[in-house]
Amino acid sequence: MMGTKFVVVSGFLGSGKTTFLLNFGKGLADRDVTVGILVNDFGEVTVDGDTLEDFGMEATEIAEGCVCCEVKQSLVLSIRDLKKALDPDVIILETSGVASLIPIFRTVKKYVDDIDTVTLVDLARYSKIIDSFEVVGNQIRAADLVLLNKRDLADENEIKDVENKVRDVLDRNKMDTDIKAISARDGEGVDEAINLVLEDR
Amino acid sequence: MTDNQHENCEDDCGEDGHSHEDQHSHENHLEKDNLNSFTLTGSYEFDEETTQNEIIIQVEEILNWLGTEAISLGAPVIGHIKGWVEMEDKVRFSLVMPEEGVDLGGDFNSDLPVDSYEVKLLAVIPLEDSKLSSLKKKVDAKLRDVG
Repeated sequence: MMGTKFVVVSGFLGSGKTTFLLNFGKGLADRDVTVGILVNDFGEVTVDGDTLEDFGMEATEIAEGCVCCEVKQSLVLSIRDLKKALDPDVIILETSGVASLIPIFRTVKKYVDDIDTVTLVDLARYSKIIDSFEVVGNQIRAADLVLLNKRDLADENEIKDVENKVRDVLDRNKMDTDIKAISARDGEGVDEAINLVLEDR
Repeated sequence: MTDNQHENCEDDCGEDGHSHEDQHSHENHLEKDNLNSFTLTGSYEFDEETTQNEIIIQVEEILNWLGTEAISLGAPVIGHIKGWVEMEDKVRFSLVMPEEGVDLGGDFNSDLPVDSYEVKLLAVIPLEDSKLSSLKKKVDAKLRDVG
């Protein structure tokens, strides 16, 4: 892989980003890809970094605000530190569930060679959140891959319904982004995300 | 960065491209969505030992109460309530929907008696400051009563 690829794992609150990242990070490492992980929680302290460490994955935590604006500088410094310490092929940023992605792209583009974005959508809550939270649409429109998570908790009709609604959002913006229903808990979606990241390799 | 992101960027920024920096300000987008959070970290002790299982049951009840109360105070959804309880063993928790209940992770010896526990909790809930502040105080009080 040439240079450093930056992979944003986004999704609204509780969509399963950390669960997905546990398998995604491991999957990349199993393919001999050097991975550095950054985790941002929207709060005074981070919780997701602790969870990743409980599973043996080292992560740099960025707390005290959202990386899309409040702690932009911390994001830049963390990327620089990771590149210096690890020279990783891939830096993964797990955003807070409330992050708007465009400001993040703008912040990091000078420091990395390419950016891919995987957005998780909670199948069970999509209908409740899409009209209430503007950030949900932003995260979908910024994605290269949309993973409809918690497939194991939804029936086929619900999955199809949400897929159609997400497709509508993408169609309105003339996007042909891939959409896949997964269960992050069962390790699904990892291969699609890895293919996305490694496709330029 | 893909074409998708460029298109989205233009979509979000309007015709003037990236000149409207404040359109993407953190406070701006959080205010639009009324997103807010509180963090609670605490260490709690009991006069008499109680089992780890009993602590988890009671903490789970408190989390469910918090989720339900957030909805009753006007939150359209819970957002995300997550964190961990550390006794002799550590148990992670996550609550997204009242209907799904609290998702617990981590092995623990349910019969093991302990005389203290620690909690780290992050609640991101779409409610205004005053309501969240009140909820935080009530959760802290309930956690002190565990045991």
